[in-house]
Amino acid sequence: MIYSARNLSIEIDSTALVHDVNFDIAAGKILALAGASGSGKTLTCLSPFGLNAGQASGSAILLGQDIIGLSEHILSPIRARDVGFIFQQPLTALTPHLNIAAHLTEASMQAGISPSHESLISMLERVGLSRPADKLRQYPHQLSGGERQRICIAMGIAHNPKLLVADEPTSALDAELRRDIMLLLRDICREENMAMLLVSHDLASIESSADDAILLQKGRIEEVSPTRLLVQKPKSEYGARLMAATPRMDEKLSPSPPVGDTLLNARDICVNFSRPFQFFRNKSEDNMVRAVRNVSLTIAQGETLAIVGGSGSGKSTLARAIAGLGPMSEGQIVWKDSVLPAKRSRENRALMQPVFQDPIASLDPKWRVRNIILEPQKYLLDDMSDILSAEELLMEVGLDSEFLDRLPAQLSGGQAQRVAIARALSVNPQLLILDEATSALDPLAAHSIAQTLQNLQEKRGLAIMMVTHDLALARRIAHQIGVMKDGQLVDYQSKESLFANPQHEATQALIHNSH
Amino acid sequence: MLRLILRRLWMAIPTLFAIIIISFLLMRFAPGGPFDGERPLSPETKAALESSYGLDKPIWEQIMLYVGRIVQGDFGPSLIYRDFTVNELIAQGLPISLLIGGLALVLASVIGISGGLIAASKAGKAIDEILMLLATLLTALPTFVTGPLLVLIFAFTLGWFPVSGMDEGISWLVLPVIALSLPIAGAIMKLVRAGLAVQLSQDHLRSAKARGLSPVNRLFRHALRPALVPAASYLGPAAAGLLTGAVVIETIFGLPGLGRYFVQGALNRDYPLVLGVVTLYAGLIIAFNLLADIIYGWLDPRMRDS
Repeated sequence: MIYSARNLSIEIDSTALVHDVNFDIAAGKILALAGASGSGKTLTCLSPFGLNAGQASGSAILLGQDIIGLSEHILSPIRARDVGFIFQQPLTALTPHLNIAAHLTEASMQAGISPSHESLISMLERVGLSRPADKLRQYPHQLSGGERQRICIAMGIAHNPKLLVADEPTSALDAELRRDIMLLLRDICREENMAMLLVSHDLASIESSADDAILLQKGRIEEVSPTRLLVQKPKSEYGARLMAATPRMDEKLSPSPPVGDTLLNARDICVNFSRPFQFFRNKSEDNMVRAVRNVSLTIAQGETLAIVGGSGSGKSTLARAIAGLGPMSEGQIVWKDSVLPAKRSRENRALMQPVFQDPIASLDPKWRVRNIILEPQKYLLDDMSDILSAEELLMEVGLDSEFLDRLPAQLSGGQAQRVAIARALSVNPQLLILDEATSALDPLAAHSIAQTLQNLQEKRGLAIMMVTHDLALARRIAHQIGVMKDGQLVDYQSKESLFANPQHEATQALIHNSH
Repeated sequence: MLRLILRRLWMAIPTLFAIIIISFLLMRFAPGGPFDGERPLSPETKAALESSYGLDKPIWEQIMLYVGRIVQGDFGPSLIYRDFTVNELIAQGLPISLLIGGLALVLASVIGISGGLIAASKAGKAIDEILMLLATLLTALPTFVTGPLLVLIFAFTLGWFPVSGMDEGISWLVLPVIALSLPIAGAIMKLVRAGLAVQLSQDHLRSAKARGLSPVNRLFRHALRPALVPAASYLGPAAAGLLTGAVVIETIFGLPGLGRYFVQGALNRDYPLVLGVVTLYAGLIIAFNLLADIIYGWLDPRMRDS
């Protein structure tokens, strides 16, 4: 065994958060730690190595040596020599002012090797990066998210560690990249005979790479199974609930509920940004970033339209343009029979309300829930006769009046997102525009919010436009699906026909890479 | 990056012109004139003097003439120091002001950055609290308090340094430079401390820790450079602080720098002298802001491309 945990428990400030976890990882094997957010998986994986605030007890045996309780100056060289780490956020895990060569050199130096230029290049080739000689001179911000995560992997394995610890290595990436990166990690582990401890909240995405998986709930092991079995036939009740909440591409397509009259008709929407810092500004084509190109779509009462696409495809920019929150260069947005002006009136804004990705960040930290929810009413409505009270709004989104006086910091991610939805509903909008509204939440919370939205839709005839990178989620709850790539809406049909007959190669690739 | 610099230089031209014209008008609208002394001149003499300096022309014409001369690098004659042109006065005063200001900036950076580093690496400990209290005190105390206080202690009582004026050697520089640098040192210390606090909690520092780098190595190699960005953006305001501070310091220490000419010029309504110094100050502040942009680019490569 490369790495074993025996009765590993972890506490922060004397609060026990992980209880008696046991596992073993052999060379060349991948063990996944899975579970909802707050289940203690990251603590379990990083605390024994002294990389977060958790205090570990029990034992964690790395190559025959128990590393629990070692002081930092003894642990640090062990960590540097035998373990490689890959973190969740490739955007921030690299030091902004050091170029890639400096990063890789530093990573190799931890094993005492000063690498030659050739060996730096071969490290980059190893993780599938093209034009490695150019990349060495570049800085982290000049690379895409996927490229940066490949650099992080190259750094993680630069010193030939025995154990690779990867904390959510793919969850900040879009579907296509997730798959590639997971496969790369699997191949590296097998070829180098490295053991790997992998943390993931998304079991489905690691199904084909991790050998075994541990399902954690509230710091306790619920289930240990081969990953494929855990995904397909979970033994534990919790595992079954978790897997039922996770949208999957192979589940049965449920029929879409009927829709009403057309509410919104967007015609030929274009959004252009001029490139910043041009000495001589001109509006010619190559000085413009065409973020959204000639997109037309309609949304009817009671209908859910999902806009899916990779990162940078322009889907959020489109949603912002339609919501009147971002710029729109060309095109027309018609609500029922009237064209909405470029500068929206208060009445226009009350028609459609947005909900954003990060629920905590979209609530003012100093405000109480009651005031947060009622704020839009104050500014957008003249007629206050037909409105819901804060209590009623909370009930609508599945919370109760006990939450009225809480601050955002006292809410979980799911609760905060419900508050954000209640705020959006407070002006009786007819269209909700959701920008990745569930993707920061764990599967159970995301699933129950999706259900809440479906209930609201049924009850109020609410139209929903949702932007998401998760095709399986769109497949589960949308009527219509639009696929965006490079600013264009390349495929746009009902979900039944989209999956039966994907028109565009971008759609086919998206279906292929989703699970 | 080059493009950014060119752009800033290009933008500096209208800024400078606006400053010159506004200061010109402000000076003229201030009551009194260069020839209103204790003993009034006869109207004929005054009129003759004004016409010889072109002060009897319409104000717009004066501005045009003045700006036309500045473009050629000529700030005109001083109205009070009759034997000197403004260029000559600036040539006399500027080296002293630049020397004091430059040394004060270097000293402030050294004190500020090292204090900030120590405070951040001992965050929450007593030394951090003491340093931050000190930094607040330094920023709060104006130079006209610290200057005389330093003189009282180190010149009068201990006799280590001269009380005022310029001397042989460098001992006359010590007290004015220290007095001028203290408020800026305090501000830089706070900025560096705050910048490091942000950086030390970043993911890339945890990655560096995971790679087994020592705390000192992490601090200097991975945290310090991005942490200096807020301090670099303070460079523009710091330059302004140094220049205004120099006015006070040069008066306290009796040094013949630009600041003194500035104050004297303003009191005597020596229009060309004041405008010359203002233009120079404005140019210096613009230059420091440009320098700050260049330093940004060095500190954080993301700024080079944006």
